Amino acid sequence: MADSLIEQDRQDEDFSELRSLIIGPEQRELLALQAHVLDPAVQTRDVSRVLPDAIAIRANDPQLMRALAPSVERAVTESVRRDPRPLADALFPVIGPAIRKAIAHTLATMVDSLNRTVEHSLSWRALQWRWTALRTGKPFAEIVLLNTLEYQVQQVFLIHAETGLLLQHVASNPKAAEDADQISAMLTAIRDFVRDSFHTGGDTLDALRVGDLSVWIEQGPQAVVAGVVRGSAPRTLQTTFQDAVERIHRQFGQELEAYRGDAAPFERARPLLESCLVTELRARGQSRSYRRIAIAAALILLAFGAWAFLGWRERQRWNTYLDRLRTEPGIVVVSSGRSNGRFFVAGLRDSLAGDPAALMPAFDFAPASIDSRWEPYQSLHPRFVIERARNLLRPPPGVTFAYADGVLTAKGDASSRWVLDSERLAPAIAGVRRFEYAGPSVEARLKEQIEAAGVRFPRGQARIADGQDATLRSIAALLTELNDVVRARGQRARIDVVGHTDSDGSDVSNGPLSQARAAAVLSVLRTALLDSLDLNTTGVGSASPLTQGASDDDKQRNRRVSFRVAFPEQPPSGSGR
Amino acid sequence: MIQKKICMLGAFGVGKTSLVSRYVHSIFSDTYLTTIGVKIDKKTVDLGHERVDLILWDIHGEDEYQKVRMSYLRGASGYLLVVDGTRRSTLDTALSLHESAQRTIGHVPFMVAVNKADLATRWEFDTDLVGQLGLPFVKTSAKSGAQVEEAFESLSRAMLLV
Repeated sequence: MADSLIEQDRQDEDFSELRSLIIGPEQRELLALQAHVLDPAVQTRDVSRVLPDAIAIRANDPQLMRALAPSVERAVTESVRRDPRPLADALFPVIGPAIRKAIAHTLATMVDSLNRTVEHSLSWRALQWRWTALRTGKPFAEIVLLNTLEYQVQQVFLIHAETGLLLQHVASNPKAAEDADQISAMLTAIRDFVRDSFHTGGDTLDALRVGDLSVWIEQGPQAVVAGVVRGSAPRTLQTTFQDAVERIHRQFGQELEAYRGDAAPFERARPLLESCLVTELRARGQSRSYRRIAIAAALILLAFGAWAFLGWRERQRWNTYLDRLRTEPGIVVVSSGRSNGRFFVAGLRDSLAGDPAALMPAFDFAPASIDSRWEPYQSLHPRFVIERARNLLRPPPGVTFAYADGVLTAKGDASSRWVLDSERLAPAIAGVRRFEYAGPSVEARLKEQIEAAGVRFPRGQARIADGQDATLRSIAALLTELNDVVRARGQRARIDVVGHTDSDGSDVSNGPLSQARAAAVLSVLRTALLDSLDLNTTGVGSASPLTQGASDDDKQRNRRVSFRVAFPEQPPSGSGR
Repeated sequence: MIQKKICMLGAFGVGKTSLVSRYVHSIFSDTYLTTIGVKIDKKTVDLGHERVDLILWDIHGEDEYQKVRMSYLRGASGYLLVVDGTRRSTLDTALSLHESAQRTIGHVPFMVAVNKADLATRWEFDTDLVGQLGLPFVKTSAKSGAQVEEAFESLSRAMLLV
């Protein structure tokens, strides 16, 4: 028994040795591996060796991110709770530039906003907008936005295609999100209504438009993207919506398939929808372009205004010049106006009138700049009639003319000859029907002169006293002149040559003596051609003394021949005709 | 937050709009009913552990002039069949609509609301009849508000179980 046990032990040892020889190395490796696997410290080391590579390989795996996110978040939270400084220190290099960038962006936005505000506050357009805001009760900012906005996607709805329920909604104005679910359903109802009513088949409503507001609908198999757009958006915006729908179907295909009313999974679709919230303001360049156009228009208007003003002023000057011409005696403006950019004036002009061209400088017109055409005529203006009378009649010094109603009147001392000539010539002057001499009549003057004359005689003789030749020539001249006058008038005059004696002697002797004296004078005067005068002689003796005195001088003055002038047809006193 | 689409179905004048008007948030005018035949309202139901936003499609009541657009039922999680207790014919209309709805959207939860409970003495039929037809029902009064909340809550619970 004991031997058998010993033998058994020996065999076991041999077997063990054999086993050790055969599988010993593997056994040791297994033991080492077991120890390795079971040792947490070793495991940690092993995992730490492969962990970076493993994470790098699965870096884009959403599952890994979802798995890590809670731990990372908790770790960060715990770290900050314990001591925020390490994290703050770590983030410091990032936060600084980020803050600066954010501030710079905010400031730039603020400056831009300020610029726009100033621009929109001080312009005429801004005043109009303020008036609109006041009138409609809308905020000024909204009016500005409406007017400066090219287009803006104000809201984007992600709608479940089958139920019309709202999956997600983003809006530029958060207040707009309040009733989004009802709007979403209503849009679906309207879409269904249109499809049913008009039997559009596979086609669906893709746009609604009210005023400058429109709803763009992009249909996908399971979801619909609807964007509320204010303003005039380009068709390329549709591409944006299409892209959003496609990406949503790619990224949320399973969620859409499994949708039972819980919209939570679609929270992650917000960035996609927000990328559709596009705002396009009218380009500044365009604004500047408008401004340039406005400035150009203003300049054109200004130039036009200046041109119009200068033209108006020039026309005013022209009209004033024409008015002046019209008041100018001897000028008659028949036509005037503007042709081919030049003023013209035509009419009648008396040669004695002022020169129209000479008036032009007073009205800032160069004579060469105006076409003038004047036809000659004779004006009946008194000034010109008198001027022409002066030229034709050549009045003696002191004689003046007056003209009215066709009658040219001369005043002043003039010879009978001149008066007679004037009476004859004056009707040849345009406008003169009659000539009147306003002084004593020629006949009366001659009568007075002739009757004042006397031819003296020696005592008791019928012979003309010596030294009477000049008197006789004077009387002859007066008679000749009177003869001319009455002949010119077609009249005749009676001249009585009256002989006188002094008071000496008897009437018997004085009568013949006086008659003889008258005959003596008449014989002398007959030498002149006095065909229009009826000359008679008579002797009155001493009956009509020139003076009543008895001195020799008185007697000598009474010994004479006097003259009496009579006009059978008495001309009007003071009239030259 | 869970959202569910519910359609209000029934004959014209049974009180569908009145039934919900006191309990819903509405941004649309009733004129939508006569124009496009539907008006969207929203009602939030608190089921204790969960709140449900019910998007109510108040569909124009069927009458001899206008048929219900069944396309409006598409995607509905349930519907409320409203009947006027004082008019027997409205029950027939509701049953007809029920059949149409099932053909259109399949077997989804529904509830019959026998309305005008405040005029029970003038009812033309007994609600037992509705029960005998195997239809879940509740007596409601749009006038007093009786059982209105309950009707929506019951329907909502049924919808959430699906």
